[in-house]
Amino acid sequence: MKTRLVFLLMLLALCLHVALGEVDIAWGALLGALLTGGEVNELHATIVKEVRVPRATTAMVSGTLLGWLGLLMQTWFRNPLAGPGVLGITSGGSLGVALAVLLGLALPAWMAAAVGCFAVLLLIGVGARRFVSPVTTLVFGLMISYAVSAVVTVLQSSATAEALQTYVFWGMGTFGKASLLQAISCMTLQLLLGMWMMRRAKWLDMWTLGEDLAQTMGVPKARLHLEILLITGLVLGVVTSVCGPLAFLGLATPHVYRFFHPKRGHLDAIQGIGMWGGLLALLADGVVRWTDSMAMHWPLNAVLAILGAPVVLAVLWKRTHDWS
Amino acid sequence: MNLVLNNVNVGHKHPLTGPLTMSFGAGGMHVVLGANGAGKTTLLRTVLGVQAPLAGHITLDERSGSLDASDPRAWGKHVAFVPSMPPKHVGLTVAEVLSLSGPWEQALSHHPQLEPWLNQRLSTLSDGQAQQVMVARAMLQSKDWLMLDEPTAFLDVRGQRHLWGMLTTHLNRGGSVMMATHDLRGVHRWMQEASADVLEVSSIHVLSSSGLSPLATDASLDAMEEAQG
Repeated sequence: MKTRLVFLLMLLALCLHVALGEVDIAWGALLGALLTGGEVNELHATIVKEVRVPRATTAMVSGTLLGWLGLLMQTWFRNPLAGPGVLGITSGGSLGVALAVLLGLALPAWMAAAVGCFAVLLLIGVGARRFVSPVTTLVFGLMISYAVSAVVTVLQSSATAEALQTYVFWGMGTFGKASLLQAISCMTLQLLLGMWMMRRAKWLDMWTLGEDLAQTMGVPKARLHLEILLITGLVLGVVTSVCGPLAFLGLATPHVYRFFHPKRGHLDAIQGIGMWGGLLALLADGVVRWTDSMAMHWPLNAVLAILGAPVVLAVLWKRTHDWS
Repeated sequence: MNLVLNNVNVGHKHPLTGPLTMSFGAGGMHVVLGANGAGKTTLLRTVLGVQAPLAGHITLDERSGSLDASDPRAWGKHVAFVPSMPPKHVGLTVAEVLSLSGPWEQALSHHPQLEPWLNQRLSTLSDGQAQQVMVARAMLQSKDWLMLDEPTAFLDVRGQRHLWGMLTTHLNRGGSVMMATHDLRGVHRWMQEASADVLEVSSIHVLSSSGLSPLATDASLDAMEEAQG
């Protein structure tokens, strides 16, 4: 499949996302008023500017970012089932929110999540010199996740029902709470991560050949490791604080790309995965918004799992020998 | 460029061998034998600059001064690595893998047998074919030294013959080869054939805890076995 087609599909999904919704926007009148400087329908303008555009762009950009992080983790750990969650940063976000909400601190959930994510990132940064191999990092992330779920369980036992509900809702993930400013910060990160990944594409290609071999080919392992940890931590921290702990997008998007496209070099994969990530996130959020309109309210993470789990199962099933 | 070890200790925290002082002549085919655990791979990783020596220096002498293994960027232009086992799960095509180290057309001019695989993924090749790609890649990276770790471990007889052919090409271009192996019999058989064929061994050393001890290139199998312990 051509990446251009995926790009067009992604743009189409973005437009539909902004155009459609519970309130029928009079687009002709709105655009006309904007162009001619006439009187703008305030309600419609506010809905577009503060609800639809932030939500749609956050969905698209988060999908792209998580897809890239998934590719990065799968390359770095040389493991097709690695995803951005493996570093324990998402778990750190959950812990932050759990502490804030369940202990009743006066802190918005996104801020608590950011604090939690960056606390783990700090821990990783401090320990980075000791994490001599990808496996150490993997075990570190796993242990953080275990510790977090233990603490959350302990906190839950003494929390009020209301606090518990807030925490559970946060864990479901949503693109719908993003402000325009948050959407713009995510877009800035997309630019940053995209440029960094393109710059490192050759090193990442070399890395797929093996740790020792890559080093003899000129990949500075310690430096690349540090860059990956810090950049992944930063991006994931921001995305998690804005959207909650999103499942499957990072893990599954690279596989969707590999299913439809033959090129495995990172330069191609970065472009393709970026578009697929945006498209899949918009599709998932489309399903969420559709169920909202039917008063069913499926949570985003449930939709992502319904779409993503079969992809991961298919990978295990086929176990293609050239997933990288 | 001669590869010079000067009082080098290799190992993780504790030295595996006594201090190694040795000069491997440029343009030669050097074999390092050793039993499992003697430290061949550690020595090779140290010479490649992946791992720092516990003591001493590893240099390539040049007319214009010398290069040190602790400078990975410059070192990689003159020393390239062929691992024992070709990497698995690599979705890059043969052309893409070669391009990581230089223009693939150049590799084809030396190794025309790679042509039919150019657009195939490395993961779809057999171990023997993939190993040839890895040797060709290493030759694009370095015209001087190639370091091979147990290169024959996963190869059948035909694969080995291809490998010797490619190494011969490398030596004929003025390159040098260092090969670590525990395969005494393979090396011995191959040296006997070598007189009639093309590949000539310049030196054989046995690595043990006391250091590198030289062995005659026409040593008998018994002598080799005894030296390896």
